[in-house]
Amino acid sequence: VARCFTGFTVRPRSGFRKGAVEFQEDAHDAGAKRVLGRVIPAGLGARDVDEVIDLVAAHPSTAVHLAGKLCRRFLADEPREAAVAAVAAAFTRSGGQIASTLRALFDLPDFLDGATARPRLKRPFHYLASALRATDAMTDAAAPLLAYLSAMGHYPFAYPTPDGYPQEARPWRDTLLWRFKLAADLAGGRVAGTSVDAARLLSRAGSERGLAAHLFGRGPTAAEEKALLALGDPGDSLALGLAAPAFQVY
Amino acid sequence: MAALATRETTPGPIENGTVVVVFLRGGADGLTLVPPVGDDGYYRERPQLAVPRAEAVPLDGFFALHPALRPLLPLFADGLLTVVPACGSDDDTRSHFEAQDLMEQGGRGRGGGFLGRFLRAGGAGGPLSGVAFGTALPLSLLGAPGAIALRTLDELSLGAAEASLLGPLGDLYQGDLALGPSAQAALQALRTLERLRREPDRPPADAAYADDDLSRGLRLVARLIKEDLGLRAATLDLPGWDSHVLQAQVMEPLMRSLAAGLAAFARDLGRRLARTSVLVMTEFGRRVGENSALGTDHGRGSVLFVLGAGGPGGVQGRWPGLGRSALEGPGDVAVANDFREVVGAVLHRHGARGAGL
Repeated sequence: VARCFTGFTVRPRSGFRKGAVEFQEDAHDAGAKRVLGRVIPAGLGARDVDEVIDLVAAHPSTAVHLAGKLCRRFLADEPREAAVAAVAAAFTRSGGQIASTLRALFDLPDFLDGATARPRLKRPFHYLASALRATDAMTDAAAPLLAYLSAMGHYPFAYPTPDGYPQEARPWRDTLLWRFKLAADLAGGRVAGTSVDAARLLSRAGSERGLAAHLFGRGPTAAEEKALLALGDPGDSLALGLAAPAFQVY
Repeated sequence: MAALATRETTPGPIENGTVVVVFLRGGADGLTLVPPVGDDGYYRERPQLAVPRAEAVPLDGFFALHPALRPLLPLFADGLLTVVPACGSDDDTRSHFEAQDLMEQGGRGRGGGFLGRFLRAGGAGGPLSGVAFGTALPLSLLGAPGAIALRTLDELSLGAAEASLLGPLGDLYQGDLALGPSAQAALQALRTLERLRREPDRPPADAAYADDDLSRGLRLVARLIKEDLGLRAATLDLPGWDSHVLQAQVMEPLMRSLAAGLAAFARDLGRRLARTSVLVMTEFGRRVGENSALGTDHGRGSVLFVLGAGGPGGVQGRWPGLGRSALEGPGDVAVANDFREVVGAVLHRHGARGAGL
């Protein structure tokens, strides 16, 4: 694989066409190569890379790997092997079409059946984005807001290794303290550069019950409605809604 | 000199202890922190910058402390300070960023940082199990369950609504199988922090913290340890060691800050120091030969300190010497002791099994 990529380089970060990727024919290893058991013939030049990408994309391990990631995202930390296999088959069958692959996933009983489907914990970035969206927040998405992601260890593009931030719930459960704080600060107008109008949200939703339905995607339980009503302040009710267990999951 | 402390020679594991990492960013000169006064090469290569024998604070006859680190001597005498000269990583780029990254990851191609893996593997959890003093998590803590960045206790408050929110939140999370325990721990932490904000911290009178960032951070960490809030790993930074120019003026205030902070921290913790280990590390040391600006340039081996229970005490590890043939690359202290050996041994004492590094 490394031989196929010879000749590709990145222009310096200063000067003409900075940072552009370019191919230098004379620095390319033009001979034939063997990748994953297949021969890439001599003389393809920059098209070696297309061959490699086609090979990797069509490799059975890729389908299983991506299907596993999608299933962990939408189903469970440890999805059933048969579920992963079904999604992988849809990926292979469709030649890697994401729509067909996801359709197969969403048709699985693991996804549809309320008895087996469990809510998944939002990771901090998801939590933050969903809170901003649900509250119709105006934000400059600048440092004061991103500081919450730093504090929860989920700053964008900062994970040092290619495996990426963990997808499973366990490492993120203990970020609840900062989620509570973000909920209170957001609703209380204490995040510089980001504003939320809690009173307007509540009046638009019609009632605490409506607000809960808007945030949770379902009507509130009796306990949830009682707790939201008891606070008697739109900001506090919104903070409680964003900090509630039902808003931590998707 | 004795061999590095190994798993066989150390006593049983420390339960529920705390590992604190103080990172000296910028590449601190090990030859100034812990001058090898018994090595003639030191005085030959550092005619202007060497610490004079008469001023150095002897440790074991061969190595000494810089006089600005004198407050650490009683800890060394009590076996509570371990000194590992010629220590570093196998990163030879001499680039601050690459070397710091590699050190905080604890090696190439591992998931997250070494403290993150330590906390994950150890099953530690809780809202205050991993704390970075500062505004962002350092690489070393990434991947830790619930690690947070913190500068003051005031930051962890829900504001005016806190009193009215804690009760209902407790009720709503009651019986939540997945999140209930984490939520109750978070609410408990908020209540405790609220109490700590009301009660002034009273370190013992002889814990003389300095009026600087490192001391403020160590004092906060000591308080969290003393309150038994479940702190398992903490990180602090002391930046500014990149002494290309006028090294003495650059390093002396930093060394005084480091010594004052660590000595006060040890007194503040008292008997709890037996369950606490402080690793003081830097990304690389500096060239043996001094440059024309009374400074030194990026090098390789520096010194690593372990304060507290996790180290065997004394000066440990191999000393490669400063003879011309013993130097590495363009004239640097050779890395005779891999930092991972030292850090690994400390984490192992704190219960890391296998996956610690």
